[in-house]
Amino acid sequence: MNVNLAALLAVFAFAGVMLAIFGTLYAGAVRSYHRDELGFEGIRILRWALVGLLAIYALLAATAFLA
Amino acid sequence: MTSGPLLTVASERSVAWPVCSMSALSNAAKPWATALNSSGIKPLTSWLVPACPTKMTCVEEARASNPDLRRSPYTSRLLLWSFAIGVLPPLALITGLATRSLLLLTFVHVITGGTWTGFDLFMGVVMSRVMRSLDIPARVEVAKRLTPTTFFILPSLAAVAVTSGIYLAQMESKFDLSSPWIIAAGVVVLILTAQGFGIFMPNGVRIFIELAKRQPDTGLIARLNMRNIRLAGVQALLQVLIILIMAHLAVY
Repeated sequence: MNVNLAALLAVFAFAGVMLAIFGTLYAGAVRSYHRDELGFEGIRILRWALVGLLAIYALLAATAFLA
Repeated sequence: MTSGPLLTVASERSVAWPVCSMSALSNAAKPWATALNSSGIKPLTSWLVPACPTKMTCVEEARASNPDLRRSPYTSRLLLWSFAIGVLPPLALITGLATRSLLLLTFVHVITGGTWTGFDLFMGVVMSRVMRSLDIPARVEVAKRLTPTTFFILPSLAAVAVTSGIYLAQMESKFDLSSPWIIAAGVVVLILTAQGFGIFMPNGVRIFIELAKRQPDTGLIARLNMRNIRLAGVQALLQVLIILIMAHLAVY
């Protein structure tokens, strides 16, 4: 199977940066939730947002195996 | 029994379900409700029927009594819509690569790049003026709907435009990293990416978090949204520059 290694690494690097930034914001949101400033709906939406972004990155990673 | 968890969740959250009468309950749930009635526990229908004479009243009362539902009932729907549109560009790119179609790959690159640039131009040139003319509560209402709607679409368009461009350049043997035009395109893409990861995405997430708070800071939401809209204008200028570079690469 041909793999475009550069493309795959780029997707992982971007996903890593995204996860780091998103994770920081998510941790802040969880702290707000524990302080009862934030409803659980907010945490739930953040989780779905993260899942959605990861799904898009997964699709982009799949292109590295086709190029 | 299938109706058990349903009733437990309903009572734990104290949410009036949008089910208003015994006739609306499923066959599986009816014996459960009857058993509750005969056991001396407050009858299920007495919780629901007097409080919710119609289905619409039920939904409205549920939203009024539950802060989570009251806050942003449309956020999940808009986010889902954004995801449904956002997965289309990567899927089109996958199709183009799987079929080795230069035509489809070029189409995907041009349509995603053009839509991304057009969207940013619209935000920077039109929406920024519209937003400035609105008062803060109205800006917040726009931000509450604009942020989830664009959350997946814009990163997806940007990522696919750049990725398909690199694949296209490789297929046409134009991906020469010693070429000043390719380097210039790379620099612009890096700036756009840094802005996307460093400003757009965090601002969007911070707006989500603020919206979900029990006492949202509406001023902060409006400021973050305006920052994103102004930045979209800057991105549009950089994209016009990259289109100029692309035009040079296509012609020469």
